[in-house]
Amino acid sequence: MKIQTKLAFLTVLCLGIFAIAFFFYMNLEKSRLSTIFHETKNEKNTVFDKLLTLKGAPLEMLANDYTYWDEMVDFISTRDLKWAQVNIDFALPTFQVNAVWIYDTNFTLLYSINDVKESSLKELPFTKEEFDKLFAQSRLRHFFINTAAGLMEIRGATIHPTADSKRETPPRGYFLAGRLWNKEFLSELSNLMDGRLTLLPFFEEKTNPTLKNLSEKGIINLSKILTDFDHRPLMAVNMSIDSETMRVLKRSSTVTLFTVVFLIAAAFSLLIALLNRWVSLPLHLISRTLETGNISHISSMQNEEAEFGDISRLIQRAFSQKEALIKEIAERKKAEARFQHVADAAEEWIWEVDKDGLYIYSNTVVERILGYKLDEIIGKKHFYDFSIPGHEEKLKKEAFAIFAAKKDFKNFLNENRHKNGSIVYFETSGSPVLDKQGNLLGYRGVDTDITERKKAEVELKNAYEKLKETQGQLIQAEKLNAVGQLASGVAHEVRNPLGIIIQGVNYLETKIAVKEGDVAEVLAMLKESVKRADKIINSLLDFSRATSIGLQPEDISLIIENSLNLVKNHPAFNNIEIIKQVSPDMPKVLVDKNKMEQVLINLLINAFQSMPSGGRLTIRGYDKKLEIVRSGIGNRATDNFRPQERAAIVEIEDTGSGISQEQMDKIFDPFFTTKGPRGGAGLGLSVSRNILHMHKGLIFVESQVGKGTKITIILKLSGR
Amino acid sequence: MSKKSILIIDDEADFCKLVKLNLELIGDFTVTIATDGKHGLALAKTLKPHLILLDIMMPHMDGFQVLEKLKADEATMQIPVIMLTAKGDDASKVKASELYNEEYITKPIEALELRSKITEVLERTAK
Repeated sequence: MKIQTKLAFLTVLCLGIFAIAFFFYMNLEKSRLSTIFHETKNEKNTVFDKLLTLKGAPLEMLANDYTYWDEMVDFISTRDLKWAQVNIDFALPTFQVNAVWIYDTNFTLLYSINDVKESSLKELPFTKEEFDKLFAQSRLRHFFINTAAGLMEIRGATIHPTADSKRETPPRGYFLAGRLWNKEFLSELSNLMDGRLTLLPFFEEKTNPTLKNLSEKGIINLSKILTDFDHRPLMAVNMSIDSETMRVLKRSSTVTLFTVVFLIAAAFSLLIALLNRWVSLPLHLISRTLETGNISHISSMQNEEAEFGDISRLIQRAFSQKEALIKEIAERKKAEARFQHVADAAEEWIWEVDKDGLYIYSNTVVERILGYKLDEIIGKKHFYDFSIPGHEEKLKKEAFAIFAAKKDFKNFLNENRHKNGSIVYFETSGSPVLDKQGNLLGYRGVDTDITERKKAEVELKNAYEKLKETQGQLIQAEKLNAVGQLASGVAHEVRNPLGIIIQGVNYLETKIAVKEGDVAEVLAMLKESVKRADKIINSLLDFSRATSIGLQPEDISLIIENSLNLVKNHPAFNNIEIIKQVSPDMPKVLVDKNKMEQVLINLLINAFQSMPSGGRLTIRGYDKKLEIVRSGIGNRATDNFRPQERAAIVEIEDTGSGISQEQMDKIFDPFFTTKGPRGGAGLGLSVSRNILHMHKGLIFVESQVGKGTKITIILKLSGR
Repeated sequence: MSKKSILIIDDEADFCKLVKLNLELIGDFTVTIATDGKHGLALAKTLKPHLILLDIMMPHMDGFQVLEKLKADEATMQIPVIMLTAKGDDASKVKASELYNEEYITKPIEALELRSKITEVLERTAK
């Protein structure tokens, strides 16, 4: 609310309070005047009553005293007019009475006299019934009648003997005396009351507007109701007393009132004018100045000693400071814009974090390298919020250790997650921001996106690995090729002589009818050697032949069963306890059935040979999600399986002699064998591995010398 | 029933000799030997043997060339052939069995086994 409004409001409020106070004062004054008026009226009324009583006393005395009198009783019966003239006629002026009437008990007029010379007053204007009523209730009566001569006050009494002053005996007659309320009487009363007396036809006082108005003007109106014989109002006598005291009182009250009103109005006007001059106007000027920024409005107030002078000087100082500030801000903004321009044009993400790692500044580069808008970063993200899952705690630990030491850091390599989910690599450098006391406020620094470089590095590494592997495969393939060619060549060159030898042996077997001594044994040895040589040739051929496979969804349980059937004739078979555990609801595997049987047979025979004196062979088949990241399971292009991929597992575990650590490195090499010249060609595991490799499968060997060997094969499930 | 005549064409003279000895010893056969393809073809035409044992790996003319010529000639077309090989490669096997619908035996082979194979082929082709 404006101060002017407040002042106006205050003024109105004061005026209101004053008006209310004035109203109460008026009422109080009115009631005071009214009280005084009523007191005066009551006094005058009492006086008027007393005056009427006093003035009516002779009439009353006549009516009362002449009626318990033996002479009067006698007059009723004698009707002695002489007595009446002597006694009654003379009494008239004495008692200031205008008329007298004497009636007998039958209300027959016995005597009548009046000094008004009015014939109509000869007899009272009552009927027989009215006369009967007249004294029926009381033996003394006081009432008024209207006559041709004017209003007449009448007093009447029953006539009794002198002894009966209490009028207990029956009335002997009736005596009535009247007095006219003529002009003289009325003016006498007026003079005595110092007022003006009027006779008015009877009205209800309240409905008489004249009377009411008179009372308002300091005139006291007293009114008496005059009743007829039957107590009915007949006339009203009204006394108007012009009270000077009341008028003076009323006038002085009004004068006081107007004086007070005028003085207060003057005081208010003065107050408003002064408030306007001293407060509103300076305030208005100050507000104009502050609104427009033009200090010329308050230049006149500059030299004032009072508060507004101080304020105007302060405003002037503030304005000059403001101008300086605006200038400085403009310059700073320019500098900031320059910095911002440079920062945004930079390739690096420039940032500032508080001591909790929350970003409080960032250039726009973050949008490009992390995918977040500035308003998603500033005040919302910590540096570790972009960390890749599982690395957050480590990063926090390392970073806050540096924070605690308030050290600079340079080219700190870290992995982060882009908003789109991709991994980005940053090299981060930063310096601590300290306050004057050396307390850490936060860090400022720069992140360089090295993802491309990193990617190139990774690609290079992958390419190198791939190259190495391809090289290995090439070497292996070359080896195989060489072995294949060798095998093919050797097969022909060796099998022909073997064919000759066996035919020769056959011939000798048939020809030498009698098997003398060692001949049969020698022939058998020759045949056995030929078979062994042939077996080696076959193995070599198998090895070189493993070049193409036909993958089909197959039941691994069936393959295991077939393989076990095929090795049933092995001499060790009967000494070995075979436990087959294949998960019943195992999905089909994607394999070349014959090749896989070949693999399993190779492995089973190896296991049998490691348990020459018996043991236990457990063969398991189940499927599971791959978890352990080991050779061949991973995200590299060359890995056959991805982590979390579901795959078929076949395990062949024996309780045989086991494989030593030195042997372990060579077991997959072609021609490596521990079985001696009578064992195999040393190609079984090598061939098996090649077959599995073509299946995109894996083989792992775990062994402990003296305890046994466990071979794990991982195969692809036929898709879903 | 007279003896069945068998022609063996193989560059390994010793092998041929021993097969002849064995087959004639344990079976009811007369075996004629040819140690090269050309000689073999000529003998096949003139002798019209009941069965020819034909080696694949031979100098000058290999077994498949000989087989082709045998099958091309009306005189020798009907004679069943058992291919003999020391090579043991799948390609040969496929070629022999699928292309010419002929039997295939890998060396070394025992005499008894060879005899039963010959008997089997002869019985089948006689039908």
